[in-house]
Amino acid sequence: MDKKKLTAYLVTSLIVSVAVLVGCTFFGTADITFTQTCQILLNKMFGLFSEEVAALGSKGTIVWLLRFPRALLAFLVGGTLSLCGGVYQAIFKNPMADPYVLGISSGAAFGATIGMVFNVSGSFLGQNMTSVLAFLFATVTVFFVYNIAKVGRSAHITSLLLSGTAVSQFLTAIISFLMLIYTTDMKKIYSWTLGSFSAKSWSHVILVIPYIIIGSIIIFTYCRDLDIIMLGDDTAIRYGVNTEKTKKTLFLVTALTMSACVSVSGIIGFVGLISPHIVRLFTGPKHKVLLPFSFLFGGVVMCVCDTIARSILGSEIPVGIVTAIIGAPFFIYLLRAKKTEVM
Amino acid sequence: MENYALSFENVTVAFGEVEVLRNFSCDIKKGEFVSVIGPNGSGKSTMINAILQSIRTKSGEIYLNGKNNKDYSSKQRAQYAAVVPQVFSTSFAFKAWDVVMMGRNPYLSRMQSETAEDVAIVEEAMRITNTLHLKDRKITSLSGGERQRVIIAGALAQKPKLLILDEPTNHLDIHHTLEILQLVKKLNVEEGLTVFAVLHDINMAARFSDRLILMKNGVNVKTGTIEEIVNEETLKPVYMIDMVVKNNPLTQSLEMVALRKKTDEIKTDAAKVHVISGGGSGAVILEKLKRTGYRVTSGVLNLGDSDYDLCHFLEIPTVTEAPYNNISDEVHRKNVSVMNDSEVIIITDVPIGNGNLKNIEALNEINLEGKKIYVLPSENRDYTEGKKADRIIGELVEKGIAGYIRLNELVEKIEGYSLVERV
Repeated sequence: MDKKKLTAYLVTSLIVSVAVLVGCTFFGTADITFTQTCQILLNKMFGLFSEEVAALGSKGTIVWLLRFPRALLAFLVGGTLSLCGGVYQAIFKNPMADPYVLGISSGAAFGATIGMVFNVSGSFLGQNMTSVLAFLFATVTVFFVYNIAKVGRSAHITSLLLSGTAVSQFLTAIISFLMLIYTTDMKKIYSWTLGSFSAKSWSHVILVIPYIIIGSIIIFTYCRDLDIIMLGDDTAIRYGVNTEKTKKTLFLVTALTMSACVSVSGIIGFVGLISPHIVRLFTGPKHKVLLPFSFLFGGVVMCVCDTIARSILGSEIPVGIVTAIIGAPFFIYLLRAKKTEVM
Repeated sequence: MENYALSFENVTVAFGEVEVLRNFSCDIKKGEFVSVIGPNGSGKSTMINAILQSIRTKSGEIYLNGKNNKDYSSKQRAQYAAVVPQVFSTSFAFKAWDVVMMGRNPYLSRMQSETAEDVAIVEEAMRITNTLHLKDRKITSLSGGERQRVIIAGALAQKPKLLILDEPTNHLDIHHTLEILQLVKKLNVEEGLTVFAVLHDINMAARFSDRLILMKNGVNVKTGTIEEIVNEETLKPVYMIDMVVKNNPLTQSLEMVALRKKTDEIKTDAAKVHVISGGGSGAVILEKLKRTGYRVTSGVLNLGDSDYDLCHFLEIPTVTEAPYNNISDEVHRKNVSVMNDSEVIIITDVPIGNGNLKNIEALNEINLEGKKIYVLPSENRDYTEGKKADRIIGELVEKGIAGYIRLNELVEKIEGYSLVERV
């Protein structure tokens, strides 16, 4: 892609991202106008419109403390899922790879289930124990999966996929078992596994943001390595990429970042799988371009899906349902329309 | 050590218990073009994987430019040595330019983006590999030959001092094979690029290399100049084929013509058979005997006799006499002892004269116990005075030791392993 086109894409994407964030913040049941929403956001961020906002009273609280952090969190989590999905698709050279391929989802769900079933109380860094356990188990599961697949000093891609699947199935079975025994918690567990941004606040944003910033920066420094690894580990070794070290580093970084996201949002499928594919159709496979756009695209998709999830019915539905219902047909449409190979 | 671009010192590589490369040593001088040849499974590609450290060596050391291979970082190694693989396929639609640019990775730090110098180097690499016009094409849309040239451009973009080729032309037609090897040879000659190539095609290896390393079953059979390696004596046992090596005046290089798969397999219970023939009369029999796995000997044959040539070709041990000479006493004694050793003797319809009468007289000197003699009938066999040969054969037939047999019946017996009735 040439520089001009790239700049145009980037500017457009950034404008769309901001517009979607603001738009999703504006959207809701309380009677707040679009202008008021903008005024409140500008006031909180840059200290503008102080008088107007003071007159709005509790509307300021709704926008700044409820809707905006929720939209922002959805954006960040969606972006991170897409980013990590893109990384895994490169490492595994497999279009079916998603951010949960190493068992993060089932690990987190298992941790959360334990927390809910056994009513583990207490909090850590302002988070309830369900989130904390989800984070811990998600991270531990990845290390477990990696070490099962490891032979000698390296973990083969196929072994990783298989051990990820095996561990996931195992944990899912236990979760199902726990759900059947503790039927009172069944709905709660089930909803958690479908993901939601309901009742999320600034504290959640603050919790995930360091992981996302540090994680993304590290991942972006590996763009060239990912390009080369995508052509096969043999090729990567020939071109002087230390494949094992690269994989290990990226697994560690993505595991921590993903675990942080999943622990606050639950498991939201499809965004991390399809966003890199859709973006790749436009940008080509180079990660330097692909990954930033995937982040923005995933963020926008998640933000929109969450807004739909909280407003389409009287009560909230899990956002994971919306992402799948909207994402799958759209993806199929794109596949047919572009008629090219996805990756 | 500093004069060597690449050295293997007693390197052994094993997969579990199986040693795929055993105690291999070699030194590749800077500026040399050395090729490794050998049948499948001889450990050729293993050497390259060992250099890349994608497999571990069990023992021994590898040196690149005098420095232990283990002391290189991935990037340092890729700066010194570039590898062109056997096949390269991907389903990811990178542009050819991007793939060649990846060859600059060893020189770029993680955060650094490509400089104007990198762009110039990539452009040059694509120009000399005749791929510059493909730079905006997707690698997935290129033909096999184009793709391989792009990969070579990527290797050259690494600005290596040592170019390692792993059967780079395996999947290419003859046009592209020549194109690529000529390019590599040119870089070798003009820029002093050291080349270490694993090649399947012996003739290509002979044509482009300075030296050859011949491998079989993970063992270095022989290392030497083209003349030392590309000859029937050296190659036949390694490749297990019958072949002819000749000098091709057009390419000024030795060329091997493969004739057929060799059946060296000897049935341990097959009989030892001695054939008395000459002048082409034994051709069918000798060939059948050899192919069905009998332990065949022949003699006495004059050098230059067409049966002698055949025996030499089929590697049948033959008692020989100088051209157009009568059989000397010494050769005769040798022949008698060979005949004594065999269980079956076949006399073809070869004419017998004074020159080769001793072949028949020998029958009277050997221990005939347990031996079976087959004689192909002939109207005019004997050209000696007093028909000595006919007399000797006639006596043996009368005694029941020898018997006349027609050629087709004999061939049937040979193929049915029923030359000797065994209990």
